[in-house]
Formats: sequence, structure tokens, C-alpha cells
Amino acid sequence: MSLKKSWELALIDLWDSLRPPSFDIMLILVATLSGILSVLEPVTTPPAVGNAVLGAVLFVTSLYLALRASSDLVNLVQTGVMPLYLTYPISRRNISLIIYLTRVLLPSIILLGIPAIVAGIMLYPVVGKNISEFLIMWIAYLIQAQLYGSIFILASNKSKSTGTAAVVSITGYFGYTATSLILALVGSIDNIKILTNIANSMGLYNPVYDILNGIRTPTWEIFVVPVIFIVLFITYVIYFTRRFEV
Amino acid sequence: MFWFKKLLPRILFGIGIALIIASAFATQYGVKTSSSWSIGYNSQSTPAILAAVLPTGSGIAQINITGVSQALYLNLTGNPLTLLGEAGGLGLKTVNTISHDDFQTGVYYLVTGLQGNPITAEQAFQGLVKNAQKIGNSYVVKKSLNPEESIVVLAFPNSSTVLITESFKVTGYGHISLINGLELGLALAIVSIIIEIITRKR
Amino acid sequence: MEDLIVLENVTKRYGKITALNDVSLKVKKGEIMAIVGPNGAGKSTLIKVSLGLLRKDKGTVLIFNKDPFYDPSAREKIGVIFERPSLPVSMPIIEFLSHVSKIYNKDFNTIKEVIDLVGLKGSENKAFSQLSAGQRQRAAIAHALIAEPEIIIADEPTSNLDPVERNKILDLFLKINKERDLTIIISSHVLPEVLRVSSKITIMKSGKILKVGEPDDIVKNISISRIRCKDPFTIKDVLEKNGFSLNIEGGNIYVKTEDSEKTSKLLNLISEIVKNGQQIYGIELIEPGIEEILEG
Repeated sequence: MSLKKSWELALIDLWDSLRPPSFDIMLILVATLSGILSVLEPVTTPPAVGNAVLGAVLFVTSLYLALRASSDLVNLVQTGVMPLYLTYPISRRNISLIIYLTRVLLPSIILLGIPAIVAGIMLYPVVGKNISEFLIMWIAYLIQAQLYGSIFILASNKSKSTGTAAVVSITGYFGYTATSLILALVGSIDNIKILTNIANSMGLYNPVYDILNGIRTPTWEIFVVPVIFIVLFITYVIYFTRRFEV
Repeated sequence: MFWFKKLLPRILFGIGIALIIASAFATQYGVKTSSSWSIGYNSQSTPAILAAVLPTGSGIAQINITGVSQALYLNLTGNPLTLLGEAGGLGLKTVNTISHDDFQTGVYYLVTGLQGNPITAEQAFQGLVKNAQKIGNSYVVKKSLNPEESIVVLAFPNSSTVLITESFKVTGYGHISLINGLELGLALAIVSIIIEIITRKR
Repeated sequence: MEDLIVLENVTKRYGKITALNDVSLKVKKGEIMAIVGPNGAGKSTLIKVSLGLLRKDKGTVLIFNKDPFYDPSAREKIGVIFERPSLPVSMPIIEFLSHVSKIYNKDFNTIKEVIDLVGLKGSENKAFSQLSAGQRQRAAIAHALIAEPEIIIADEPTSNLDPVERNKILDLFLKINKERDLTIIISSHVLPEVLRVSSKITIMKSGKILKVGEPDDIVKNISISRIRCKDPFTIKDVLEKNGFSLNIEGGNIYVKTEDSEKTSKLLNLISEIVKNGQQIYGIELIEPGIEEILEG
């Protein structure tokens, strides 16, 4: 029964989350981007198709999620829609999960999924060789997007200010990617293997790609992004359940 | 599921538009499946030359070298440029590096001179390398490469100019044809518009 | 009668500011409780703490004997209307109400009933953003009624409306209260507005409850006479010499009287003043505001 109530609230919130035209513009943008990227260089294996297409799409999707989380979520609070949600007989934990589903998970599934479908159609002779490998790469990118999304949603819930949330989100995103880049650079220049490994592990798609291509990779690299994501996600749910006020 | 009825045509429309644009783009600026690059390399002060083909995908790489007394080759997995760093550790210095990047074929061609003791160079790669086949005046290496693999040829010049031709033919790549892409894209866009019209009428 | 909402010694702070200071309040079934106070009195905070939208720093909040912050079932039989009607902007009202009705396990007939009741028939297919201010408030009331609640909590429901719409909305509350035997809590910063609809009034200021009682107990016999005249200062002197407390605002004289005898005396005195040749354009008896009540 509680699940049914939560689902109805999710449908209400999805209406706002996926409303045109900004979502449609993004959809066409990322789909076209992936179509173009898929024919730009000759990728000959399904994981390589994933990397060639989804890397750029992840960047665009992350920026979109950051901006929408900071503006829309804060708007929900400021316009009184979030207080309305909280007056329904639905637990705070479920509402936090609904908000995550509608504001992060579903938009990222669509914005990463549609480009993957386009790339799959464009390069069907390549992707068709091993669809499951292509799917595994896609899931790796999706989990990476969840990591960024949970930073954004946490920032907007905590700050409840569009400006602050946007700054924290964008800083968080670029800070994370810049750290990974610097570690990779230092690791490569000074030949410090552990730094290279850490940098590699900060993008889940790197170790996943390596493993799918038979390149030897430390197993722990696969767990770094999921663990950071789970920690951030749990923090968000606990914050929303126990401390979030409107 | 009102929202889904609303979302489905939007998604189909997005995919349709993307297929039309990407198919047209592929015809004009898309992937080339073969490329080659030739260079006359001045080898007067370089006792050894390293020539490499570094592709991003799978394919058949070929390196032809004329003007050398011996040519050895090896297949590498991972980034072969690290090999140059390791060569540096053996007292070998890379000089006069010339490269060519063919983005549309997804291949990086590289030629570099190695200064130092050529015997050291030979010893450094011993055990890893195989002899290249000699055809006429040229040494030829032709290998099928998997993704993340590259081929490196180590050659010892016996003339002042070494002629190197590197080529790569992509295998295992294919994309939707222009006409199929346009047809499918248009069909999806039309279907999405029809769904939208039906939904609005209801 | 049973207490549906109970607040005991509730304190709520925003940093160093104490928004609610040791507040206790009980709302009984069937009451229309008006929470009145100037801006910043803590009315909205009281409502939000009661609904579990804000955490309390101290005290107990119970709705139907459950803590609404932790127990969502406490909110099962509550309809809420906020100051600025706030439904999802782009969704058609009927679509939105349809989803909400499923949250409360109600059927489509409930939606039709509430749309008829609030007078929104014909506009139900419009998006919330396409409605006028009055229609938006009606849509918000319809939304609050979907749950077939036992309690309606309305935070300044008339503050963004013109006087005609205000009266219509307040009449609607009265109607709902009578027809459905609902308990209603309305907050407002305008006392006269809620006097005619409420069965109990709570007066708040600076985060504290200053008075709780029935409208007659609160207002007692205090009345304010507004005198519109040509020469307010001459009349002011006469009234002050006769022991009336008054002030002049916008060229009008406002005289406060605490009982009917004094009001009668004032009217007689005004009659004398007119006889003496002073020009008076009109005299009206108006309900006292919060300040007069607190002073009285």
C-alpha cells in the first residue's frame, strides 16, 4: 500500500522533473551527440563503443543533473510543493527515495540510455557482437552518474538555495574529475602506480573497460565509485529523513 | 501512465532526429576504414629507428621499411609509448620523433630515432622480438591487431634516408548505412508525432 | 470532546532566533481554530511543526496521538492549504487530483465532489498556472479535501486574495466545517477576518501564545469607532477631555471603548458635538485589531 502511494507521488514529481522543453532539448542533444561520436572514430568492440559515446554524454548529463537539481529541487522547496509532498501520508524515507528516483535516477537512465540506444543502432554490427559487454559499460557509466547525482541532490537539500547548490554541485563535480586527472598525471610523470590506480578507479568505466578487454586491473578499483556513491546516497537519505526541513 | 504516454513520443522523436543527423554526419565526416602514411626518415645520426602503429580499435597494421639492414618487430598490449621511457632507462635516447594522427581511422603512426649503442637496443628487445620478413629491398611487417594492441618495429639503418610506410585497415567496424539511418530516423519521428496526436485527441 | 492536535511545551529555534517559545495548544474535534498574530509571530512555524514539516527542539507534538514528523499515518486524515497555493504548476488540476486521490485511496467520485464543492467545475482541466488567484486557492482547498480529512490546516489562506475572494473562501471554510464536521485551523494576521468564522482564537506574538479563547472572550466588548470628520483635532480635544483614549490616523479618529456603556456615551457625545456645529461625515463601529485586543 505504501509502495502504491509512493508510486503516485513519483508520477506527480516526474511530471515536473521531465517537463518540456529543457528535458527534450537535452534528450535530442545527447542523442545526436552520441550518434555523431559513434561514427567519428572506428570503435570495434562493444566496450569501446561505450567509452567513445558515453564519456561525453556523461559530462553533459552530469551538468544537466547538477543544474536541474539545484534549480528544480530548491524551487520545489521555495514554491511550497515540497512542503505539500511532506504532508502526504508517506514516510520521509520514501519521499527521499522518490525525489532521488525522479530527479537523479530516471533522468540519468534516460539521458544515458537514449544515447546508448542511438549508438547501438548506429553501430549495430559492432555492438551486436556482444550486447552484454555494452550493457555492462552502460551500467558503469550510470553508476558514475549516480555518484555525481547524489552529490548534487545532497547539496541542494542541504543549502536550499539555488545559487549555493549550483556552486557546490559544479565545484563538487569538477573537483572530483580534476582530482582524478591530477592523480593520473602525477602518477604517470613520477611513475607512481598507486596514484594511477586511484585515478583509474575514480571513473568506474575505466576498470570495467580494462577488465572487459583483459587488461590486468586491481579488483579494488571496481569498488571505489560504488562505495562512494552508496555512502553519499545513504547520507542523503538519512539527512532527508532526520534533518530536512521546509 | 499519462506521463509515460507523454514521454514515449518525446523519446522516439529524440532518437529519430539523432539517427537522421548522425547518419548524414557519418556520410560526410564519418570513419575511414583504411589509411596510410609514408615518411622519408633522415637516419644519419640515429643507429636505430623505432616505427609504431598504435590503433584504437582492431585491424590489420602493416609497416614497410626500406634502407635498413635488419628489422625486428613486437606486438604490445597497453600503451607502447611507455616502451620509449623504458628504452631511456637503458641509455637509449629518443630523437627526432615524428608522428601522424589519423582520427577518422583511429590510428596513431609514430617514427622515432634511437641514439646510443645499437647493440644495447637490440639486446634490450631481445627475447621479445621477431624478425621481420624481407621482400625485395624492404622489410615488411603485417599483423592483425586487437583493440589495445599495437605493433612496434625496431630497424637498423644502412642508408642515410630510411623510407617508412605505415598503413592500417580497420576490421570489425560497421555502421548503419545512410539510407537505413534516414529511413529509420524518419519513421521514428513520424511515429512519435502520430502517438502525440492520438494522445492529445484523447 | 477529544483533542485531535496537541502541542505541549513546544520550542522551535532557527539558530539563535526562537520562533516558538514553550508553546502549548490543544485543538478539539469540530473546532474552527484561528491562529492570529502579526507577521513574525510564529504562526507558520506553529503550523509547520504541527504538520511535521519542521523538527521541534523541545516538547511534544501529537496529531491523532501520533508524532507527525516520524509517523506518516498521523497525516492520513489531514488536508493542508498553504499561504501561497502551491500545486505542481504545469499539471492539469484533474490529473494532479487523480494521483493525489490514489495516495489517499479515494475514487474518482471524490474528485468530482470536491471540485463541485469548491466551485472549480469547468476549470479542472487547466494547469495550476493557468488559474486566477482565487481559483488557485480553490484548487488548493479541493486538494486538501481529497483525503476526506478530519482536520484542515490552512496557513494564511486568504492573504493573497482580494476582499471579495477572501470572504468567499472563508465562507467556503464555514460551509465545509458545517457540512463535513471538519476541524479547521486557520492562521491569519487579520483578526476581524477570522472573527466571524472561528469558534476559538489563539493570539500569538513573538513565538508565544498570549491568549486562547472563544471570539467573544477574546474581543469582549472592545470596539473601535472610526470617526470621519472635517476637523479631527478639535473633536479629539473634546473626546480626550471626556476620558476617551484615541488616536488619529489618515485624518480619521479611532476611539477604543471597552464596554457598551462607554460606546453609548461616545455616541451621545458625538451627537452633542454635531449639535455644536462640528461637521462629521460618518461614524462606523469596527472590530478591534490584534494590538487593541492585546492592549485591552
